[in-house]
Amino acid sequence: MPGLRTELPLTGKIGLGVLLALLLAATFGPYFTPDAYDQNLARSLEGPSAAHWLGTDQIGRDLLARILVGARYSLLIGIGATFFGVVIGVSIGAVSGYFGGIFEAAAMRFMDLLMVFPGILIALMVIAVAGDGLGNVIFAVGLRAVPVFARLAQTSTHSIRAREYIVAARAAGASGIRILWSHVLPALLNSLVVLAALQVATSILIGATLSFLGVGLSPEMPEWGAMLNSGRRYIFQHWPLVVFPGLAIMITVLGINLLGDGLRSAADRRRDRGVALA
Amino acid sequence: MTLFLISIVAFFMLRLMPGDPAQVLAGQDASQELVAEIRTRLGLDQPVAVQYLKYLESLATGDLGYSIRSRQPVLEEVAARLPATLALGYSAILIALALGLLLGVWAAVRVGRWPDILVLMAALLGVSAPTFWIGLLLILLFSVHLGWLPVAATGRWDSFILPIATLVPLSLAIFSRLARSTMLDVLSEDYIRTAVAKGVKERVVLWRHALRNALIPVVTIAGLEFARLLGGVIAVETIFAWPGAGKALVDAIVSRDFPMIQGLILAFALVFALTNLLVDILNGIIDPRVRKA
Repeated sequence: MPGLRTELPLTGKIGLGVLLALLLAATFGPYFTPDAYDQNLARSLEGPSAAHWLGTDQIGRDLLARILVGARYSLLIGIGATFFGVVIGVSIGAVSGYFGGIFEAAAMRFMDLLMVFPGILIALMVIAVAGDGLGNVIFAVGLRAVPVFARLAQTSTHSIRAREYIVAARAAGASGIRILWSHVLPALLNSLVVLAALQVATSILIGATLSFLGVGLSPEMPEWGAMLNSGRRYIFQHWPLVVFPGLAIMITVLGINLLGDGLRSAADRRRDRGVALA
Repeated sequence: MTLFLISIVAFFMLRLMPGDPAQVLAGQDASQELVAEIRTRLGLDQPVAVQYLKYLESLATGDLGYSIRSRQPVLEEVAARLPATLALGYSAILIALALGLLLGVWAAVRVGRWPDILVLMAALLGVSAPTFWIGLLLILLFSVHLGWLPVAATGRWDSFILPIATLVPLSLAIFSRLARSTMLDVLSEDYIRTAVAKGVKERVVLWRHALRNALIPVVTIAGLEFARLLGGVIAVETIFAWPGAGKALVDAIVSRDFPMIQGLILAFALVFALTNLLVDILNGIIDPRVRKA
């Protein structure tokens, strides 16, 4: 999106900054900290020190290192699940919105049904059927995002399929898939980016909740929700274990939400000025 | 209609599982005789259509099968746990609704000034913090450090405070933001200007004329928001050892207790359907236009 730097409000820029800092920390941070998997029972549940900036966990692993590695998991789940939701959701929505008829009605009815259930319940059901594992977690969290994107794609596709330029493209002999890809999808792009940003935030929250409940990922993994789950047994002895991983989740989600809100108001402002979308 | 679709989903969920459903229902270490007996008893050797009709028939008579873990009828297990969940969920959503409207109106009246900015910032934090983490922080502060409130369900009134306080922030954030923005729209309407111009007191304009109209979108999303809040209840019950349906669901999933999972999912779906009906009725009371339509 050209001109984003000038149109993104300050809060959006802060969000973008937080996110970039997080990406850097997740990528390079673990090279500067002690190993996230190194156990040392003699130094368990220690407070912050020069060697361990945020202290150690119940079996003496460095808390900061685990949080930094955890950022990779959270971002992977958040972005992976949203990507799954965008691809499947937009396909279902755009195809059913373009061709209409009974397929559209049935598909959208099913999407409504998925929408009624809270995301965590859908994710829990999927894990119950599909079993544990990182791939299944991404799929479980992403399935919840499918109806959100299907709705968006269906509404916009439905409303533009009768426009002159679409009719003209069809008259010129373009196939349905081609029209969807080169005429319908670009028109969706702006709202899609905004929605996707906010869905990454929700997906991270749901992914963390799953592993906090001990479902999906092993409680030993350095994932933020799983860390809070194993740390909560030590809530009486060692508070950092239940504070810092949660703080990491909140800062991440807050950054993404700020960026998403910023993108939305930038898109709104551009539309108000009458500039063509995307 | 929705319930019918959900019954199909719950039915096929078990059949989508890898492996033999009879084996799954009997548990991993069940004997071959038990597996065979379950297969004939549940009619798993018959065509899928026949199976589904039988399943619907048993649903209609309230037969949800037996829990693998406790060997008790699923219906009894669910009925024993649902009230604790609903008590938590409904108190939290009502508190969030009342506070959210209050804060939203407060922010809208002082738009652009510090109460407005404060409410918006708090709402942003509210949607960004994971619910279960709020619960852990509340335990840390009020149970571990101050020792004022119990960490787990005791059945006494004071064990309700922390779970409800954990559930409220997210919904409160959603309601106050929505109430603020609809209130801002309503306040610029002609009929509000008319009311002010003819000398109606500001308080009356605000709480009688404006709020009633701002209420409609808030109540409309309350149904959806309640569903999300019940999702949060699942984590909250686990943290506070609350003897409800949410904790039972997590336990059932961890131990792969499928009859129990099915029963609980159906129970949750029923609660969502009834709540949405309630929301429709409420909207009819608030907005006479809905009743005529």
